Amino acid sequence: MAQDHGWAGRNKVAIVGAAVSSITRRTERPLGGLVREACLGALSEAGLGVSDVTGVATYPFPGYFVSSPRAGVDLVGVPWIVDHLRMENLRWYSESNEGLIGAGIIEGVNAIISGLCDVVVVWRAMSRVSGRSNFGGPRPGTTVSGDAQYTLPYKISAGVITHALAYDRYQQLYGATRAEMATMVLSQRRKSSLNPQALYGDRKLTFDEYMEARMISDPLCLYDCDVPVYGAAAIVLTNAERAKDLASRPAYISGVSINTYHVGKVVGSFYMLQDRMAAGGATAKRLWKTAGVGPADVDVAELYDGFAPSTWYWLEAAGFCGEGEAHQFIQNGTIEVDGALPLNTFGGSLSEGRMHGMGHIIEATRQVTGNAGPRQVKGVELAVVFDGSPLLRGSALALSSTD
Amino acid sequence: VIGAVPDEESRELPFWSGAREKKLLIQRCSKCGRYSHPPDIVCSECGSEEFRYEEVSGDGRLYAMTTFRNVPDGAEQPTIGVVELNEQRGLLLACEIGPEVLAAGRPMVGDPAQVRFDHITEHDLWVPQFDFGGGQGDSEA
Repeated sequence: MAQDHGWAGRNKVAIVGAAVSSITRRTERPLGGLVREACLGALSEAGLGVSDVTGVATYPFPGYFVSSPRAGVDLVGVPWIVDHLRMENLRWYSESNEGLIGAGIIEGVNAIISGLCDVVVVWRAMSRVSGRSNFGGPRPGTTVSGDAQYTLPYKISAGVITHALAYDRYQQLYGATRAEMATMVLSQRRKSSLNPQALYGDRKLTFDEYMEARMISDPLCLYDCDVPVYGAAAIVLTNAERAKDLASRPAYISGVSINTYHVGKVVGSFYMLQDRMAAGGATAKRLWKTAGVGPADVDVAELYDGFAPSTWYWLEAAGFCGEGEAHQFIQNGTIEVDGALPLNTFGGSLSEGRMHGMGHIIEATRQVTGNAGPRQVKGVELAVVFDGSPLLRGSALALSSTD
Repeated sequence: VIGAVPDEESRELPFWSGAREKKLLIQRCSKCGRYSHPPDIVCSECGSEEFRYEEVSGDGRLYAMTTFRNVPDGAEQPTIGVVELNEQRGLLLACEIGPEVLAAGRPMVGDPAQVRFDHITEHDLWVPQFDFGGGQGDSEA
């Protein structure tokens, strides 16, 4: 049996800079230019420069599948950024495909704690295909083999279908409704109006518009799906001693976790609500253990909303409410900026744009350092991020205002 | 009703070849008896590398359902179901729920499901599908 001592790395590393490039639906600028802007912005917030950087990490997947990606255009990995930011003092780097950006951050934290690096930059770049995507996969009659022969003949051709299946089950098991989901989606849209970088900050969304929205895959409607964008986001990590001497206020990393719950055959488990809850529960339990806190200690929560129901699954898996209760928990102002649990205070990916969890991490950093402007929650000492959908690349971070 | 079709090699696997004889064959660990669908190579329960295919009852319950609507204008919007077989918790099979089933009323989570086998003439392929509640029986398409 593995020994469990909490986490010796608690508060030893801090986020000392966070920046986001422009977030747009389409752009003439190369993706690499956006990453450069985000990385330099995050360094400058801390009063650091490229020559200080000794480690870099990213999660290179650009957000959609492209057969032969062009470096700097479709994706921005380590070699491209090392060349184009002229990084000459690197000692370590990582490109990891797990936990969305979570694994990269945890590896960066470990590289700092081990003494291998003192300043690490972690970025995420998102691009998109133009036009309406996910038109239903292969043409009828296309031949398939392997695990796909058990799904594609039945037309399970897009990720959104598996999310819709889990949400359908959730609705029916717990009596949840689209009108209840509207409360969360509309709340996030209102909060995004106080977030200058949010893509849809100036687009009002009414209850009627939500209820009459085009369905993508029942019961998921257009407004339950995050918005694919071009954009880049970066954070800067350093050790707690150095953090105290920098220009910015540090957000200490007090807990980390990554999903380790895997079932034998992933293809079937994508439908399974109970697997999502088991994966999320295990991820959350370890976050609370590493951070030495519990859900009642949290001042603000940024919970992944690539598809809106993922936020409900995280609320339950993390223990903010009981299983099957999230649809009721989020009603009556609970999740507003002045509510009992301010949630996705920047508008989430549904309104800010699909930054694959980096939007959530950057908002948590701003909330815990008092830099969230008009949407600042009062007296934030602890912010948490639960990233990814719980089963697919889930991870979590706890950020503290003090060490 | 079919999307992609299993290739020549795949359609000789027991799941598809069994359907030709109107049998639902699911892979089962020879050692511990755990069912795996899709088929596995090492049992995730006991580590055994020996499997056989066994005919199952074909009875289960609707686990979840969705209609995929993000298709080009005018294109068919498929309704996809997932059925949990009675043999084992979490033993899930996909199905497509055709308009003839939906016409009798939307099946709900937990409704009883019974396997049926549809013949896709164009591909000479038998495909396991499910009926809910009353049942429609096997069909030619």
